[in-house]
Amino acid sequence: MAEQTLKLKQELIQKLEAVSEAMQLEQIRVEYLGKNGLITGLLKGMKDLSIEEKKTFGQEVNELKNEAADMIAKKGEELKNAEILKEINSMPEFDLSMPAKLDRGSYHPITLVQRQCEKIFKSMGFTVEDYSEVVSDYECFESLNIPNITLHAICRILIIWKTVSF
Amino acid sequence: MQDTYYLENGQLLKSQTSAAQNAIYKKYKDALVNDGVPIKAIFPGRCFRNEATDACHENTFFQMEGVMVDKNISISNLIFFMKTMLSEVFQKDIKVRLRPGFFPFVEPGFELDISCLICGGEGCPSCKHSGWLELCPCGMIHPEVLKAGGIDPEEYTGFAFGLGLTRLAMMKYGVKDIRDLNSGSLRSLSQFTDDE
Ligand SMILES: [Zn+2]
Repeated sequence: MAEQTLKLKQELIQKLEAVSEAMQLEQIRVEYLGKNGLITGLLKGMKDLSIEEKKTFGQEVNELKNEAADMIAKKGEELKNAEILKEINSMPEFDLSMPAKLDRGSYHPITLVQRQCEKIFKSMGFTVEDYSEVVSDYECFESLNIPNITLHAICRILIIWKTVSF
Repeated sequence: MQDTYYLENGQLLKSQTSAAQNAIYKKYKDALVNDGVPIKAIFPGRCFRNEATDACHENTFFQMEGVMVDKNISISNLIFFMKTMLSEVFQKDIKVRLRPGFFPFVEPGFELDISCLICGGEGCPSCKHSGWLELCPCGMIHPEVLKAGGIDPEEYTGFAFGLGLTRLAMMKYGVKDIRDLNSGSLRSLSQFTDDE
């Protein structure tokens, strides 16, 4: 009878090697260790054996049962680790020990001058206002004493802070 | 030829930061009248003009408008603030002078000149040997403009100036071609650093 248990064990080892998913492993566990599993099934052929033989064979089957349970548990552990490793490898690579990049770029010269002017005027009690870039005719011309829209063409040349006309 | 960019809905891209004046007056007039808080505001911003570009013209540029309104504001207040600001920006004593100039929203209106940054007033090619550089238009706010902002011109007066920030940056950093400022060239931008 020893060859029966040995054969079953070899088969199990081969099957376990091929397993790559937890689902498959569960199927194998039921197949071998379940209530009506292959290992328990070995005991059915025991009734023709002598008492001495029954005792030996019973021990063998029990050992096989324990071994199989261990092997399956070990495989389960392996699958879980492989899963975690896969997740880690799929993450973007960071090296936290690397120094941070301190490349800060630089401000536009107009920004520099604007901030400087703001700072100076603020220190003299002025508020800094923000304003829309899209305005009405009233805001841009009429409210500034340029009443007739048809005069705009002429006025625009005369006004608008002529000397800074860029 | 200068022109304004109009939108289909009749609005426009502001061609001068002065476009904010009316809203500023309305925003602060109550504090001025009721609590005697003078209006002191600057408003920097982008301006747009539909014109051909060359070394000294861009269709997009920056200005900084400034206004101050209170009782008894005079042109000497304007000169004081401008002189202080410019001396800070250029980190040296700057002389200023005013010449008459016409702009509808100021009366009287002036052109503000500063002493040449290169020669300090001696005369050089940069200032066309005059010793002066034109910097910004300014003047006493026109009574009609104050009225439109809800402020009584009989009681209050104020000054306004329209500083060309783009021009100021070019003067300060010696940029020869205005188009370089909108070029987005990181290599040329990286040359400029904050003084502070
Ligand atoms: Zn000069």
